[in-house]
Amino acid sequence: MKRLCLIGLSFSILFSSVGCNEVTYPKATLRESIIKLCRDEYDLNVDVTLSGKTLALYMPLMNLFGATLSLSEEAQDKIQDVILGASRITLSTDADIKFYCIITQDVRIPEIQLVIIKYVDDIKRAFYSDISRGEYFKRTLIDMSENPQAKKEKAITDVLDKMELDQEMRDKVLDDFFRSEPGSLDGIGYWNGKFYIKNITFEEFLAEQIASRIRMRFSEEESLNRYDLKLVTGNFAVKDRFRFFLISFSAESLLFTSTPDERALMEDDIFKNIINEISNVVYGYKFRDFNLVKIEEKNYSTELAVSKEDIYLFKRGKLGINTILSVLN
Amino acid sequence: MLNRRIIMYFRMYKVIIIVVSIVLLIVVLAIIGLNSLESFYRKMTIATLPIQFLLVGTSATIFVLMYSLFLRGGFAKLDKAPIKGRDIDVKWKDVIGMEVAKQEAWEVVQLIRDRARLKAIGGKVIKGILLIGPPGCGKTYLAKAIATEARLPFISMSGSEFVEIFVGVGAARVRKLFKKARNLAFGYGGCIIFLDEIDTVGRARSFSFMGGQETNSTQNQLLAELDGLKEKDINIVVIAATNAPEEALDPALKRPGRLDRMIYITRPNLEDREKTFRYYLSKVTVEESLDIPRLARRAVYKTPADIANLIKESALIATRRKKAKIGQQEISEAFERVELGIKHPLTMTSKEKEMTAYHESGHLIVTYLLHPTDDVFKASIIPRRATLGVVYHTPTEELHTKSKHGFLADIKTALGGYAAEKIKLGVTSSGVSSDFSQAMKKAHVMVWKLGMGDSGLLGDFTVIPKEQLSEEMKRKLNDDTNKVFKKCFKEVEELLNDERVILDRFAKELLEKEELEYDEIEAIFKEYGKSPNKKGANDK
Repeated sequence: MKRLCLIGLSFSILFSSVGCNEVTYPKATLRESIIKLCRDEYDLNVDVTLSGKTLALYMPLMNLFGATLSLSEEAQDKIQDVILGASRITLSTDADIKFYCIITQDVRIPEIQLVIIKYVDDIKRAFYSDISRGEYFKRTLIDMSENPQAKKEKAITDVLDKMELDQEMRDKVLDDFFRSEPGSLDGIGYWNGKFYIKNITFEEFLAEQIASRIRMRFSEEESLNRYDLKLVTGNFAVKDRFRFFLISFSAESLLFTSTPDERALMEDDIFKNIINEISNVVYGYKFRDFNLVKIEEKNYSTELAVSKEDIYLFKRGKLGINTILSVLN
Repeated sequence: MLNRRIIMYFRMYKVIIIVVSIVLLIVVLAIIGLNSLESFYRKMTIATLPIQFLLVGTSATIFVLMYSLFLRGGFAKLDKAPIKGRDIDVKWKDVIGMEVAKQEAWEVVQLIRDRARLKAIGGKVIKGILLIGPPGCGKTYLAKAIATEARLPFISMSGSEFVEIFVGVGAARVRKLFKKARNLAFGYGGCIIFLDEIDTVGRARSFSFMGGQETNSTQNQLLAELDGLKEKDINIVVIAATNAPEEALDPALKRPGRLDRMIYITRPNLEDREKTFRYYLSKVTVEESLDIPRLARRAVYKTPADIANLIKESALIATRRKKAKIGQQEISEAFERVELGIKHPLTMTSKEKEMTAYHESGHLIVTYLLHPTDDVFKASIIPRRATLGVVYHTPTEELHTKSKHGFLADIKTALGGYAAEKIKLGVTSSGVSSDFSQAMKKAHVMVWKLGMGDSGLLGDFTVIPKEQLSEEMKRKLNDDTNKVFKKCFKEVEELLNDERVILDRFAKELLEKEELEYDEIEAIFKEYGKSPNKKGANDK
């Protein structure tokens, strides 16, 4: 018995000492490590920057878009590779990274960009099978849109042209006033060799995730297609000691309703689905550092504020959706 | 020799060595593999190790339990660790009480030691020794001493360890035992296998279809291995021991080349007993006045193990009495405990006590005055085991035969109790039951088996089935038996009537003291001018 314990102890010490070895990607050489990893293992050239707890990777691609402006298969593979590389690095480093952001552009049309934002804890939970693959996918923010910086610079360039400023002066004006860190997730991008990245906060990530999931739900579920939700945005705001999520949207279908009753029914259905998605997110992350969620429909300026407690009670099945929606009408 | 030992260890433990090497290799590969992982995956893998160990451990435990429950760790498993000769540490001088056997065994030791010289002159090396003798005479001790003196590893196994319900398991164990011994012999230049209670597997084989197949196959394997020793010229000596009669063993075991050297170990004689007493008493603190020759005389037919037990018991008694030394009294009580049992508190009426006192006094007087070989060491009317009283008598020397006078003396001694009760009280009790049974058996044997009847009928009539004996013959034999019985009783009755004063005296003493020791008994007889009639059973 004594011998058995000794052997067990030796093995424990041995394996613990192996486990206590240094991290694979130390903070000091993180940038070089990522570039090397992507180059050596995936044959990808990337640029890397770190803003607070957010790691950003830029990957230019030759054929990001196919003929129909959809992602080409080759690009999809490369994006998967760089996601895998970024995940590996963020998991095996001593740098305190909470989010990583992958920006990719087609070198032919850099004005269009694809931005993918992931929360590092979600990657771990997916590894541990703590969340499903579907949930993991829903928690990833994917945005393909016009490059915000390009858009901004294009607009200002027209003005600068009219002012007939020389190049040096133009660059100075742009650098001083228009090439700063973005204030929201919308502004994240890469333009002319420069990262436009911000230190993503957990709250804004959640707000954007709520918006993203609402968009996804209303476009994927056949029964909800008819509501034609547009301009869905998610923000996190602090006002008068109140910390709240602000979810805005416009439901085009409401404009064509014939009677107020019909509109009320539709609103109920839309709000119910939105509250469902909000509760999924805040409950999924056990996020409690907020007071309420404000939901507003812009066409009719319909607003609904739901407290944190109600959100949690609704998620636990202790509060009916009709009670929450009763204030609407 | 070192190389041979390394090879020997590899042969003996090759499975363990291979398994440990594989485990170590796997561990090294696992560490290399873990080190090649990125830190997150490495930590994740290590984090799951405890639960994996737990799961594997639980599975392994269940497997082992099931395995040992249903397969008992493998039928042929032989978990016998050899002991090196020097580690046994039973010195030759420690073997006492069997001088003749020791001399024979010493020759064997010399032959094992001088194996090379013996081979040079063309002699055959001894392969098997059979120690025969009653239990407790030191057969195992002698075997250990042989191993110590021969300085060879020693594997000890009891015959019963080969026995299994399944045919073939015993044989497999024999094969494994000899394989292990061959490995040890290879490494150490020789090995001694000690098979205790060889009669378990060595009794005469039966060739019927009704059972015995397992014993047969085990013994056949043993015979084959003993023959193999001769052929392979490996220095393995098999020492077997048994307390069964020599005839009970299969003749094939005892034939030349197998267990052909027989050493008979008998119970120690007076001289050996004295030595044995001195040896065991030297290990404890005893009073100087202790009469060791008297103890040796009293311990007739006692084996060395019995004597060791006596000393152990007396030490316990002395400790209980808070005495610093063991005295005659403690040893005497130890004798009683061993021979007669522990005193049993029983409330008896005064009438019962008186009857018991006279009964035992009758035995005592007859034994003292008429028995040619036995000395009375104690008389008691304290109940022990199933008896209300006892007269403890033993022969003064070892006897290997018994004469007619000896038998008659035994019968008279047994009838002494009955006669005393009858003389004193006019009625007799149920206490005579075992005495009569004993006496009648002896009388029956004298007449029916030994031709000691008065009518002159000779021969052992018990070998003839009773239905083949004529009624006349049976009547004659029974008459002779009865005559022996009655004649003995008459003599006893006359003796006790003649010595009525002594009878009353002993009964009175017993009623007063409950127990009389050797010295007290002697003193009373001397008081009346009586001395024992000890001419020897065979002389009379």
